[in-house]
Amino acid sequence: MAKSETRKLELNILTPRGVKFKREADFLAMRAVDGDIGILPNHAPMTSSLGDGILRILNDGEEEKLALFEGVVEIKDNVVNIYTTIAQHPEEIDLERARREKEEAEAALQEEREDFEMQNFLLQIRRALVRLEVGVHSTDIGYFEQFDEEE
Amino acid sequence: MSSTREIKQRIKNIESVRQLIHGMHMVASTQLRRSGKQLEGIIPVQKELQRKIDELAVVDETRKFPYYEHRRVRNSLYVVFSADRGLSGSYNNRVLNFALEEMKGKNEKVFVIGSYGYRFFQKNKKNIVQSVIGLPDSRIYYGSENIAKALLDLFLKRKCDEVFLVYTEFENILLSRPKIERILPLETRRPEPVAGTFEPSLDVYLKHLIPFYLHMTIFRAFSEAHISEQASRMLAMDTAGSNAEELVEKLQRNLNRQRQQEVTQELAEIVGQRQ
Repeated sequence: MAKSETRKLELNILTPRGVKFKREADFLAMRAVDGDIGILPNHAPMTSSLGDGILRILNDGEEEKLALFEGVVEIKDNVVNIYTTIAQHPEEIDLERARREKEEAEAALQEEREDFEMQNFLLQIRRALVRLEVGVHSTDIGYFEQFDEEE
Repeated sequence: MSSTREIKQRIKNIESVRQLIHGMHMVASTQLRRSGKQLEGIIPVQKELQRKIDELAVVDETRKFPYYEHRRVRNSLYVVFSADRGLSGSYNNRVLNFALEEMKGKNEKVFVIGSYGYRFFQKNKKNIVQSVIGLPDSRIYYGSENIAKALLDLFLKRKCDEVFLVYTEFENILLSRPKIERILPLETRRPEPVAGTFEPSLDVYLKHLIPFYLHMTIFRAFSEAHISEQASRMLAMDTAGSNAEELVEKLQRNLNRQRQQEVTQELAEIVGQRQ
């Protein structure tokens, strides 16, 4: 590793399916349970819960995106540890399937449902949207806005 | 002594059983490899989450949350991991008898996984409150999530005052042993210094961390139990295979001896007729 003048973040991701992922980063943005958080080097130590969303990794001007589903992030001494249920790269995402799941869940929501069923379908939609957004490699699709209107 | 034909038939039978044993051995060893991978994946995550939970032990505000509430124990819930299939040596009996031993003197409720366990606790007249039977290997992850949710629900609704996991801990292929672990209420084990703040608030953080932690802990226990089952089955099949081999060898020797005897007798008869 080359010695750099500016400090970098060291990102580690662990998932129960055995994914181990390591990166250096200048900036990280991710979705916590209550909204997006951005992390720059020398961030104060903290721990937070993650929601379903996109992790953006900026390193030397290059951006990498991952879909993360729930978990915990821990920041201390420029080390960012993420323990999450699923971490997916754009190329690992089955767009066709995500689209199908979204449509299925949306169709299911048209009918009268129990509360917990509604929650499950909303979760399915949310996750499908995250996958689509990461998968199609574009930031401004507006899926989230669209979804909000529908509600 | 049985006739040559009978012995031949027996050898044929044993040979076909041996092939079956060989097949099961192969299946068990591939599954063993697969579940080994699964276990390897979950252990680091579970360990880190355990650390995050331990870390909270020194935060006094956690005491007011129901996850930490140590009530007077009226009902103890035991989550027992057994197998759906037999032919795995002493695997099922060992963990089930261990669980039974642990339940002595407690007002038990049993959450049983695997049909063997279900039959066992039914026979022993234990209070089975929930069961998971016939869960395919590929659904262990999601199954664990549902189990975790159910447990937390039972605990928070005060249907039980403590929750134990009883499973077979995997050391290596030759060594695995039953283990009991209390997962609720949360314990304070090794207090470690806390790193910074909890966002957005301790309340929200715990609400997300604890189900995740339980899910991962149960997934780990399930994976350990599953790999122990496969290892045990593989060993059992190994023994059965070598027993079959021994038996065939013995029968073959008998067969040869008998054939020899028949030949000798026939010769003797021919010689006798000539004289």
